[in-house]
Amino acid sequence: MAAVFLYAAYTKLREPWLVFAMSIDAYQLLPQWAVLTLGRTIPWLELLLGLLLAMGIALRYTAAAAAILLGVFFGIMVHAYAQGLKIDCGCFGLGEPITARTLLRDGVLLAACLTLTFLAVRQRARRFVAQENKLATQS
Amino acid sequence: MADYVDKGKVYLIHHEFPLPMHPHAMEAACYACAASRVGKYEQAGDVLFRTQDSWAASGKVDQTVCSVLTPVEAQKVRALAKDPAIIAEVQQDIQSGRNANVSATPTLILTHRSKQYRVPGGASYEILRRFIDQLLSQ
Repeated sequence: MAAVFLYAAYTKLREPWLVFAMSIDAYQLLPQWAVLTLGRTIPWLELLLGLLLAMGIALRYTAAAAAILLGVFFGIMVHAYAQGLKIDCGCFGLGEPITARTLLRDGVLLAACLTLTFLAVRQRARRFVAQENKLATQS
Repeated sequence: MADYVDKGKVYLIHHEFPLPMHPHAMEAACYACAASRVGKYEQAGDVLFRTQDSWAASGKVDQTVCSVLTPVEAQKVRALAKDPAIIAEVQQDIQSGRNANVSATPTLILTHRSKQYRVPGGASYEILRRFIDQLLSQ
């Protein structure tokens, strides 16, 4: 999952930021100020999430944030597909139209991220319970 | 066009990319190319885009293009549209489009200092203009 986010960030950051902004604009969902803001910030957010995921830092929060981001992307892609818009996905740079295949791929990534979030939360919960048990035993 | 092409800031180069699912697209592309030989590419292109639902169904590409030409021009264009050189030119455009992974029309590709940027379909002119201005300022 970290690799996916890092690669997504790389494909966007290697181009002028306005190229990604145009990808966002093609969805015809947001006003210009929002398109420009997201065009500048999303690649860096993806980079940050990728690095945090790779290092396993605050995994339950990072995975949840990644899942939310992927969920939003997936939702608007489904919406665009349902509207019949012939546009690029914008997920990993330009030149990849939204098709059933891209929706399937991103759906799988979303499912994987949700699974990661669940596992991270569960692991944290188990650690917490183990710690509590240890403290109870000691006292 | 008015902001950049007419002011000499940008060159606009048209390429044909008739899509295989449209039965009369190849013929229309050949007519448009032929019209460019008599200096009427814009007019032919405009009328073809504007009325594509009509000629796509009826197949009346010749009548559509010739409606914006003089009788002399129409005669020349009709002959040129069947010229192997024109057909080869369209085929070459198609191959160039495939090499550039073009899958839909219109597709706009910006070339700046040997680097190409494909403009996503559906992007608004305001954002596109910002991008062009950014490239021109470099």
